[in-house]
Order: sequence, then structure tokens, then C-alpha cells
Amino acid sequence: MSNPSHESVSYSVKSEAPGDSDAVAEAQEVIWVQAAQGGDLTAFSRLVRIYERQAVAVAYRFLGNAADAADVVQEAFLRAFRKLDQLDDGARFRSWLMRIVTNLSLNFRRGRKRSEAAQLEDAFEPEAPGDWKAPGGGGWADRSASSDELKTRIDEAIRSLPENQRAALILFSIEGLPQKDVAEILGCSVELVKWNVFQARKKLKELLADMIG
Amino acid sequence: MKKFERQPEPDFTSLEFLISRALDDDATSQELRELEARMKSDPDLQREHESYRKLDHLLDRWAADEPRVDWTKFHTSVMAEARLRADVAKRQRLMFRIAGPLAAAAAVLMLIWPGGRIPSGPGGSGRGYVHVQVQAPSTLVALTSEKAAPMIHVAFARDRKVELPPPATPKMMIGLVERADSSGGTQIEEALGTF
Repeated sequence: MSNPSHESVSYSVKSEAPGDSDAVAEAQEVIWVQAAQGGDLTAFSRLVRIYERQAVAVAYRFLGNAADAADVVQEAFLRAFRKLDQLDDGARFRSWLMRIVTNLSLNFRRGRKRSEAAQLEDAFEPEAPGDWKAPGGGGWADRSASSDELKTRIDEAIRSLPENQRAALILFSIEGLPQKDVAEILGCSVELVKWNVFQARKKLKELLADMIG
Repeated sequence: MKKFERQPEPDFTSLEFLISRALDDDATSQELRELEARMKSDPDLQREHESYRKLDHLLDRWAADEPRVDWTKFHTSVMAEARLRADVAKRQRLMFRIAGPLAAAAAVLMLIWPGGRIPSGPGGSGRGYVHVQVQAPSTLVALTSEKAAPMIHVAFARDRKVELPPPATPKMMIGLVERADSSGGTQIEEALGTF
């Protein structure tokens, strides 16, 4: 492992045993976090690469709009970079970052003024009505007015949930983050995460009863 | 985030809660056996379970909608902003490193200068300038204190020529030469003074 510099970085962690890929990836990530804490932008760039999609997906679930999600996540990454020295344990970077994303998303929803992000305007395609990206064979059958209506109803139902239920549902059930991470992000116990997920489901079941049948 | 929204007290023993946990693969084997046994004898409970399962299926389809983002542009934009802010922060740290000692030096000079005033130049109005010039490659930052005499003009000039407001007759010039060091930071290597 070379000594870090501000302009270049070369870190590598070698696997000690076959099938150790997850542990190696985690160890590598901790190294990048530590390097980024020293101001290494190359290391920070790698962290952005790892988490940008998941972070934008989380923000998108809260905000329902790719442009807003991208704005929020850009700000989240920048805050993370500025405050990286406050992170004691590099292994907690994901949950720490997602906490920033979640809080910013909720704040945005609460009416925070949208920050100017003109440079991001051409980073994504405009969302046409009914412009769903259906997964191969498993998503909505067609892009129709009824699909738009269904999406809108589910959007509205989820956004009507109390914040902690909405956050628990999005982070755990939708985005698949581990319960332990979600508990850390939301600042509550694992049991409370489970309970909030249940409460969210219960309410959605009532709101969307006609769609469930 | 608001953590204490009003909610009913959690009932972790409720069967509906168990259904929710079972759907998340969070129930023990014994709990699953008990749930299945209860559903066999309770059609309403079975319908509840089926409703939650259908809801999860609906949410999976909702979640299949992913944000459309040009990830290359997004990443480029984030890193460009990060670099810019890192650069600004670095310059601000440098400014604070320089401005503090300079301000102290200027204050001392004002105190010890004969008569407590900086002599004016030809055609001057009794006011003088302390022009501090830092030579290093970067952006120009200028701090000017608009006060009665003496006036202190501190300029960090790098690649550009410093333009002083007329009458621009600095009576004290302190030049600081900034050079990059091996760690990527900068250091002040020379301090030139002319009085």
C-alpha cells in the first residue's frame, strides 16, 4: 500500500482466502474512507462511485423526482466529504452517508429551498408522464394511463405516512438496507425499525385496499 | 428527523406484526410454524397474510421504477464541486495562516511608526497604504480596510499584477512568496519588507 497523496492514490487489499470478497471489499472501502478523510479526492471519488446509485435511489423514493434526488444526493456527498473527519469508524460510512441522504431528503420535503444545481439539469432525462422504466418481464405490463395512476396512488400513499414509518419502509423494505443499518440511520432500535415497517405496511394496506383486492 | 411522532404503543406480540416479520424473513422457525397453524384455523388471518403479501408485491413493482440519471455526468458534477470546495477551503486556510500574522504585524507597525501615522506620498492626502503582495500561482484575493489614515491594503497577488487604487503609493510593502511544497500544500518561503 502506497502512502497517500492528494493527487494520486493506489491502495489495494489482497484477499487472504478464497470467497473473502465481501470482507476484502469492506476493508478496501475503509482504506478509501481513511484516505478521503485526509483530503484524497481520488479515494472519495471511489466512494461516490460505490454509493451514488443507492443514494439517489433512496432520495428518489422520498422525493419522487430524479432531479430533486440528484440535487439532494450531490449535497449529501459534499457534506459527507466536508465532515468525514467526524466519522470515527470507516466501516460505518454507508449508514452514515445514508443518514445524511435521508435527513436531507426529509428536509427537502419539508419545504427547504431547492439549491441551485444548474450543472445537474442535463445529467438526467426529463421524466415524461408515465415514463416508467419497467424491469424485464417483471414490472408494469405497459406504460399506460392506468399505470401512471397506480404509481401516483402508491406515491401519495407512501408520502402520507409519518416520516419514521416512511423512512423505515423505504430504507428497509424497498431499498433492502440491513435492519441494523436502518436503525443506525434513523437513530432508533432494530425492534422499532421492524415495528415502523409493520405500521407502514398496515396503513398502506388500508389506503391501497382496492388495488390489493 | 422527527423521532417522536405520536404512534400507538408497539405490540410486539401481535399476530399482524408477526406476519410482517415473516414476510421479511425475520421470524424464527417456531414462530413460522405457529403462524401457519393459526392461519389454517383462522381464514381471516390467512386473508390478512395474503393482503400483506400482495401489498409487498405491489411495492416491489413500484420500486422497479428507477430514477433516470446520467451517472457519468452526475459523478463528474459531484467531483467537480468537491474539488472546487476543497480548493476554496485550502485557500481559506492559507489566508487565515497569512492574514493573522499580517494583521498582527500591521498593528505593531502602526503602533511603533513614528507619530503613529504612515507618511503620505507625493500628492497624497495623509493616507498611506500597506501593500502586502504574495506571489504564487492562484487567484487574487484582496482585503482592503477602508479607514482613516493609516490605510492598510493587503493583497495576495499571484499570477496577476496587483492594481492599487489611486493614490497608490504604498509606504510599506511586505512581499510574501508562496511556493508549493511536496505534500501538495503551500508554504511561505520569503517575506520581503520595504518601509
